[in-house]
Amino acid sequence: MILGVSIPAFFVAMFIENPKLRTLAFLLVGFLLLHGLYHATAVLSSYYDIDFLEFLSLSVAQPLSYLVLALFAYKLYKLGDTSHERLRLQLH
Amino acid sequence: MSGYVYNSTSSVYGSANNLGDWLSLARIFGTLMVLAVAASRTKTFGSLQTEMLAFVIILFTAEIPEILNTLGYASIAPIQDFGSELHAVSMVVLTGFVGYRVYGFSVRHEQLEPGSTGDQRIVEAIRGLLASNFGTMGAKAIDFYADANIAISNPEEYTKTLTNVFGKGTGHVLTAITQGLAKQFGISITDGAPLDECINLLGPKAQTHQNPA
Repeated sequence: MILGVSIPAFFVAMFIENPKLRTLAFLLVGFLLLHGLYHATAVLSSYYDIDFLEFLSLSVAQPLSYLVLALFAYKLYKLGDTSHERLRLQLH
Repeated sequence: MSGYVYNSTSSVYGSANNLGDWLSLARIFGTLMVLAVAASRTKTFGSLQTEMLAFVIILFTAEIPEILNTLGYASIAPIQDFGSELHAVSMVVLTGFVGYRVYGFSVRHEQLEPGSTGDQRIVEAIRGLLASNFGTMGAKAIDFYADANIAISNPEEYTKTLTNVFGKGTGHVLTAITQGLAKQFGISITDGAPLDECINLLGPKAQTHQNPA
């Protein structure tokens, strides 16, 4: 499901021209792909009992996906964060 | 971490997994805090910030039982199952939110219903003005991350967001929006008037404004 929605989200990101919005879009796609990879490798490691897949799932894909989610949240927070001085300079 | 049953003691990667669990929990908690601030600034449920906050709250709640179990602080097998199910719910919620916005970006064409409120009319007018300035795709890209609903709930926040997106060109964008709104709703507004002043003036006018057929 998560991997499925990442495909149209990726195409949306390709259409965005503004660099700041494009960065946000690709961070969201990155989270969706990495978290989808985490679920996929977790299922495979559980099914085939392969330690490496478990490592890939729990120690690589999952922490990385949450790191990308944290970056996305920070960028989204920064999108609405401007000092009054900068706001005044940009508007006038 | 959630959704699958692992036997960490038999794994050569067990200790790395514990560290990974802690780091993941810390990151989700940090994300939750940052999104809570971002969502509170938008002051509307119709923003990406609020939608992401709802997703992360469910995700964070789902991770707590699993992490306690993995670290051996509590034997909570029934709650662990609940955590796994909640994690699945968070994925459904995220897919729904992202899918809805992707649908809005690529397919949906907003049309005002006859009984639409004044706020909805203003939101659609802003979307239309963005589209006439940046093209349909450009306007939808802006709306994906900086929902026009924020212009109603917190015009100052919307202005700040546009400032961060457009930099020095923001003044022209805002003038185009405020003057366009004034023209559409038949009010007079000075050049360079802030968006919140314009929204306040529009409130009563938008309630009674008739949509063009």
